[in-house]
Amino acid sequence: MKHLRRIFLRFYLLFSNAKVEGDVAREIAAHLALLEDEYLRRGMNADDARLAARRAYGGVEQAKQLHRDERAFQGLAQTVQDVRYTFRLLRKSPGFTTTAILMLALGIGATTAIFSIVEGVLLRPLPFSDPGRIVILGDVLEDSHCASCTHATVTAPDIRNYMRDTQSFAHLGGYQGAGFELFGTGTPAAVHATRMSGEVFAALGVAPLLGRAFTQQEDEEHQQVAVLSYGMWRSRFHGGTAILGSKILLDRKPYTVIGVMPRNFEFPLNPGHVNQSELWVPLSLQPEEFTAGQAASWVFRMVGRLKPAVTAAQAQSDAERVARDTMRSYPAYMRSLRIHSVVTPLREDTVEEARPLVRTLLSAVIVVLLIACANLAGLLLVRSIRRRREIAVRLALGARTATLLRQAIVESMVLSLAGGGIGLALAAIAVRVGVSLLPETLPRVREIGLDWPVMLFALGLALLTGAARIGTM
Amino acid sequence: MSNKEKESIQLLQGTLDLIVLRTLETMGSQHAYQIATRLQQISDRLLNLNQGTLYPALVRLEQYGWIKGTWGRTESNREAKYYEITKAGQKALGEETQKWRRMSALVERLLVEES
Repeated sequence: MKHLRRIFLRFYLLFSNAKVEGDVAREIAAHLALLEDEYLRRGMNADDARLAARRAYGGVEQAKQLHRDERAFQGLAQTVQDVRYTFRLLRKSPGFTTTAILMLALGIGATTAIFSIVEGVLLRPLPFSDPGRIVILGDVLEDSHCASCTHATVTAPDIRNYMRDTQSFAHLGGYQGAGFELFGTGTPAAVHATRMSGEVFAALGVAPLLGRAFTQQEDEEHQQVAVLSYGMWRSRFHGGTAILGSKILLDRKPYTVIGVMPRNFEFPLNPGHVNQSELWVPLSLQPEEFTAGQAASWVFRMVGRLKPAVTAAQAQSDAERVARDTMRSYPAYMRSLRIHSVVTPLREDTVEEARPLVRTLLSAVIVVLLIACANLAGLLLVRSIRRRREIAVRLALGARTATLLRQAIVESMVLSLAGGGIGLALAAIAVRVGVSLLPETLPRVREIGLDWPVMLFALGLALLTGAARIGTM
Repeated sequence: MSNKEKESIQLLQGTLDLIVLRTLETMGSQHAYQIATRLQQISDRLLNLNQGTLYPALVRLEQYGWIKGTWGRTESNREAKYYEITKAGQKALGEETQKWRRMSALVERLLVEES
């Protein structure tokens, strides 16, 4: 209780200083007068008495300072004073102040906004149910130094073998990107599509918005059905429900539209690519894809959902077993090839793909920020040089170096924080505007927000620049 | 007693508060000069502190709400700030005295055993 009361008072007295100061001076004067009276009474003359009183009292200024230190948080009081002083100084040079603050604000705001949007587009959480259990299964060829080795792929016979013989997956299917010529809706157009096993829909666990997805049976029976993406449905078919059951021509073959996927569905996830798959058709592997020449092309990928309680490592050894069987039945011309199965979580696979892009972007952002900071440092340097005279005079008049240093730090902080604050506001606005400019059909684009780590990094850099200036004083 | 032996002693941390409170309790309301004089009297000039160093203790005690200062006039018609112990101050003095007694008894016991 007594401490609470005291803490409150010590804050309060920071702001009502003048009255207390007067009171203290009055009390000290009274005290001295009483001491003087005492010495006069003892028979000293007036001058001696005054001196003796002063001696007995000790330093008046020291007593006042002791009083100040005791009654209020002095460190704080000085900082409050420094901030006031800084504001006065900055107001006096509006040109410098606005330039410095705007430079920081633009540097911090623009870079944070751009990074937030791009990172948001690239590294969104996976739009599937229970995404942690979805994995990519593929082969890695031994002794091959291909660039896509991190990118596990499979062949057509692999798809058949893995789907038939593995036991670790609740659902497992293959897929491959494909381009089609779309007829039947006005002008012919080239569309990005994905051939995939019926099992893939089950593995991803996303229900269609309209109609239904195709099944594994339809896939194996080579049924010509298609599922549309939300964007495709809206842009080419005006979002009508009449689309279900209608025929579209893909490469001049008729396909029946049986479903439309929800807006946030996207597969395969191609971070950094604009050409998302616009429709999905059954994989329906053709006989020629199992024959010489094509049987050895690793052009497909496989995605699966692990059975409950099966880990990725267990699934991998399970797949490895199937891969050994596959190798045993290799035709003569493939005998020299050795493959290993790898099972990686889909999230990792996706992030891996986006990583170089994010890294490039991050370096660009850092360079822009550094340029902004270098500019700021230049401005601050010029200012310090201009103020050399003032600082020399203040030192000569007895200002402590610590005081000057503290003021310089506070000045830099005020600039950095003001710049950072405005930058934050700018970034928030820019992200809003930027997101609204992105295509409506881009999945989950509305969920993009400010990237706080980058924001804090930018602000930290700005503060550091301010602090670096102290070295130039 | 020679002058050498009469070397002034340093106050233990926190004891000044106790001394000021006790003085105000026994002597009634006092101004800073009176408190300082009283301190010198009872310490037989052993405590040779500058009178200005009394102020932090007064501020502290006033902020705790243990003493209360009001302006008044001395017999010689000089103005002075008179300090008075409050109810809370009396209670605190009781507690602080207890604490001090226990502490000094402990140290005393230790010193006796050592010798």
